[in-house]
Amino acid sequence: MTANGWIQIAFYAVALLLVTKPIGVYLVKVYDGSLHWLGPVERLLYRLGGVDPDEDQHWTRYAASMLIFSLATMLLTYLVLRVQQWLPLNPQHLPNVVDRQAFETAASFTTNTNWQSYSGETTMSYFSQMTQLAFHNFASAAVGVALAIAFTRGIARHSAGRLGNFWVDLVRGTLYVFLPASFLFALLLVQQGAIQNFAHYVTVTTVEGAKQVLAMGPVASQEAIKQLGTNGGGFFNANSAHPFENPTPWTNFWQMFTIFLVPAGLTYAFGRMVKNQKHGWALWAAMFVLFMAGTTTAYWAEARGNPIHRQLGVNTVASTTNPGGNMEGKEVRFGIANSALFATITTDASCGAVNAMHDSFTPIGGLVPLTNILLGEVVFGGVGAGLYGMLVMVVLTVFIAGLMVGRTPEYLGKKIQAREVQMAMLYALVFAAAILVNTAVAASVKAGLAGLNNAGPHGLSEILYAYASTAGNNGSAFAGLTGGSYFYNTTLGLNTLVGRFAMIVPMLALAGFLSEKKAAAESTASFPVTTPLFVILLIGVIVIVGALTFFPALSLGPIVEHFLMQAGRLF
Amino acid sequence: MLDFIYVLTAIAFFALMLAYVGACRRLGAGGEHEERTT
Repeated sequence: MTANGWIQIAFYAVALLLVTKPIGVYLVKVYDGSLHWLGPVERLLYRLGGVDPDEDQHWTRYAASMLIFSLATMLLTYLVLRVQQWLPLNPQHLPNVVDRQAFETAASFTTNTNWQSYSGETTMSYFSQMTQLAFHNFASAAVGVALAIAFTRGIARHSAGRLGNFWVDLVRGTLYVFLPASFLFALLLVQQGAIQNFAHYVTVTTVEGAKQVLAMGPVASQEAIKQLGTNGGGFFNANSAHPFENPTPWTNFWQMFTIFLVPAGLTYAFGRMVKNQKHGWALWAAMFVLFMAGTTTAYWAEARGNPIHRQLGVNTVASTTNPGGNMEGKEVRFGIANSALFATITTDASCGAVNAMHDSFTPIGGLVPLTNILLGEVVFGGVGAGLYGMLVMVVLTVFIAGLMVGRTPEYLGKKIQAREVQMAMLYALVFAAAILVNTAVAASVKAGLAGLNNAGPHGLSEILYAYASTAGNNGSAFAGLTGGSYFYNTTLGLNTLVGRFAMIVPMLALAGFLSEKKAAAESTASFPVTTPLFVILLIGVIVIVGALTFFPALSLGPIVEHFLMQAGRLF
Repeated sequence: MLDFIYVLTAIAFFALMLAYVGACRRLGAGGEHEERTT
């Protein structure tokens, strides 16, 4: 580890702290309806969609609206991918996407996962990229934030199960947050060298005299929302390691920064909406502690490198001319600190963009992104999904704390009773089951094992990572797994749906139940949710519920691989 | 044929989710209620 690396990490952390409040204040204004500068566009969209913006939906109606919107847009994407060769903006004459990949991709982008078993540059036409994949990047992000705001209203209000209007939240999030922010970020990317065109692919002669085809396309516009919306699906197969997507160290910083921008702001917005700003900061603090723990571990492991490299005489010591450590699968221009930081951020959030190949990390370095996903991606998290995931954990924390000290579990004045805990546990159990059951099946059947490129514990890590990434709607991969098969495309596609919607429904139910309760005035019997003790307890519950659920699987994967690597064995 | 199966699978999944909404609603029916606590 170097001072230079730590300065860059510290710069990132300070910048994140500084933007949390302004972004949070802006988000409150967006969702309480006090911003009107796009009012005419907003009203036109409501008229076209037949939406009554004044309707305050019951949580069941809010959930049904979200499900119907998701199904309709998923089916449309499936259709477009299956007929793209007959549609415009396809200068490379790319064929229709095969059925299994069209299903997986449609499910994956609808759910904000963006798991990709294809190379964008050889599979997707510009039309598919722009009208379908980019559309989902905006829509799935706006849906995520809408759900977090709905949950917040459930806590803040006493409204008989009513959580707001899904269509209004969807439109306002898209118009006032993601479209303008993406426009500005895309301009910055273009200024730094990211490409934005509809050109044919270019054939060039390399300095060695070989012919190479350079893929083109409207990259910058998709790249911006890919990061801001914590989507992560790259225009190119190499994702943010590709110089046309992420050309400079400055764009690399902005790519990492924009992943956490909205999720960090949401913690402040939450505090303001529930009229307990200190509680919003307590959530931010818990997230930040987990974020720094992950970053430090990943940076340490990658900077330390692989002992077998050292035994073979490779210089792994950092110097002015050598980044040192484990550079396999990393961009030289980003180095170890920025690769470890990016990997931690992208998996703390449900982003999944990568600027280095997680499969090539050391076992402990790879354990960090995997654990981040298994913790439920509540460390700032995906746009919206991180906050509502964290709030479910808060409900469990308050319940457990209440049991421990003999107090009535109460959260911001609202009693936590059996049905709330049932919904919170359903949320946690669906996630665990989606990952562990699928991993067990894939590791047991021939079709699952056929996708492996690595044996032993690393192979198990690849399967576990794939199902964790899809259930967590992350989308990054231990790329050693060949996911382009009927078995993997179908099971991983279904897993993205289960990991998104089968968790959202109990979360919305929990929000609806909370909104039915009157908030009692805080008393000495209330559990304080603004203190360092609460932050520690919350972190403890996240680690216990998240990590220990998966410890047996992790011990058979990256943990045993680490010890075998120390003994001189690689997989 | 596989197109039909994939589309049907998606529709069936979302129909199941709508039923799941109903099941959660029934589970929480009854509104706010007091429970004996220590």
